[in-house]
Amino acid sequence: MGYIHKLSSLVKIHFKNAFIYRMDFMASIIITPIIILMEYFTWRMFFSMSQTIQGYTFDDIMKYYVIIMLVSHFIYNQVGQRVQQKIMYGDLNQFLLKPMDVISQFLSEDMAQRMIAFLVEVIPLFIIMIIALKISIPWINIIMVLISMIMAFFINFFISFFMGLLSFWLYKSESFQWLMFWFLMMMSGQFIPLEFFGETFFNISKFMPFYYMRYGVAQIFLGKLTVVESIQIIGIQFVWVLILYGIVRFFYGIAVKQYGAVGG
Amino acid sequence: MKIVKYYMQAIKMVIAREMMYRINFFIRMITLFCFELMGPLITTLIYMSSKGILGWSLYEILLLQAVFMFINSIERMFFQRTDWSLSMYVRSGSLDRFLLYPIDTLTLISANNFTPEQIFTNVLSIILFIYSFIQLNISLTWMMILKFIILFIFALVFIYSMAMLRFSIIIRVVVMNRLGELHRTIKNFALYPINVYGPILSAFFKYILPISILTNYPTAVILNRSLENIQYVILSIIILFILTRLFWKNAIKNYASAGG
Repeated sequence: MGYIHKLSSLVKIHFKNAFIYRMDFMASIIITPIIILMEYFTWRMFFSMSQTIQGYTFDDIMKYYVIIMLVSHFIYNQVGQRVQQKIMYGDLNQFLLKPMDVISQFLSEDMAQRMIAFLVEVIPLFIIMIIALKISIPWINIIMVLISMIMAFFINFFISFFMGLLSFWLYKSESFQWLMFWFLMMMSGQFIPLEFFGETFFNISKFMPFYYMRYGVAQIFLGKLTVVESIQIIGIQFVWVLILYGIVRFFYGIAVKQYGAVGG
Repeated sequence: MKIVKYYMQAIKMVIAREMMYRINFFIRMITLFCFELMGPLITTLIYMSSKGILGWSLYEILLLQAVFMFINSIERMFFQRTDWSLSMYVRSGSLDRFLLYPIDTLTLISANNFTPEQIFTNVLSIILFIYSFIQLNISLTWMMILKFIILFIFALVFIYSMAMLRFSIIIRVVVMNRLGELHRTIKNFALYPINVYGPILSAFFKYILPISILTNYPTAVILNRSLENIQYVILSIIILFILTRLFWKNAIKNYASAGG
């Protein structure tokens, strides 16, 4: 209970901090419909001469992009950059002195930010989806999608945290993080559904955690999977969360032993 | 001349700073290129899986996107980091230091935040342009080149105006991390022919917020297509430039240092 209490206190503080600059939220509210509008017109252009592309109809592809956007808002984090900055400027000391595990402290900040994102980005997008795209989702799917999104959040968090840990050895790791960010976006189906890259690429991607960050969640959302297949996806996500957590714990343990703050 | 001299000096310093972390710099260069390449890559993948786009061949679209990549990389070279840095300067109060110099503040900040790694994307956009150009088998005339250069200059004026608008907003609201994202999102509409966005939006992108100048009009010159209502687009860019310049001057005038 003590851990949960500490975690919720940190979440509350970060929640208040995030609301200081309200203009950022206004920008968030504007950006999402603009992106949907662009996707709508560009895909309408691509469908001007084709009924289906890679098995997707125009409606399917629109739903796919809105769902991917929704999942992306939910799982987004900047923990890698934050970890790098704390290491670079020696600010990690403050985190090490607090009576709470460092990973949990970073996690609390991201949880707070995602709660806000859930309110200002995910829910409005969900409403747009229901009204404009007429997507009907069975309750069982909503529950599974929510669980799957939470798993995807943790997968993304641990991958980003791991990338941030590279700063213990490389000092400045932001470029690696950006390259990884691009790779994640491509391998998780953010740019385009994974089928477009060909069968070999698609099959290989299933063995990587990235597939389960966006594409897998989208497939549950779109109702393309049976209940058993959806549960399988969630199960694989859970295994990836455990594996990534183990990797992060292991490397964090090694890194923190050799850490020496030089900032001031 | 003084500005050019200062700019060159600042660029030298930026490059020297970047070379302190060489691996970081080169990986960032590759990453930026990967992001920029996604537009043409996605277009090619979709073309390979579909019957294409009505009225546009793959290489015509790639030519348009090569122009986009080129102009985009120039913008990023001069203004990509400035959004974030300016916000930091306002928050910390160090913007005051820039206001004291006898050089235009915007130029000064831009020079200090020059992004040299964009040169890689710049070169690759030229390669993509030449490749698409050869595939299209177009015969180029001097008049076409001249028109292209004129339109390109107006595209730069538009980019500069948008930068002034963004920076004026940042000075007023201090932190707006997603302003750059908003700008990029809108600018991305220029990745495809503007007419596909329907009559209202395409009119908006021609005469109100003329992003059509970034790709559609310069590409139209190369493809020998009609430069429909170009005079109004140019007029719109000139008006936008004057208004954003006034907005920027006003933002600087009303800036009150609060950092410390």
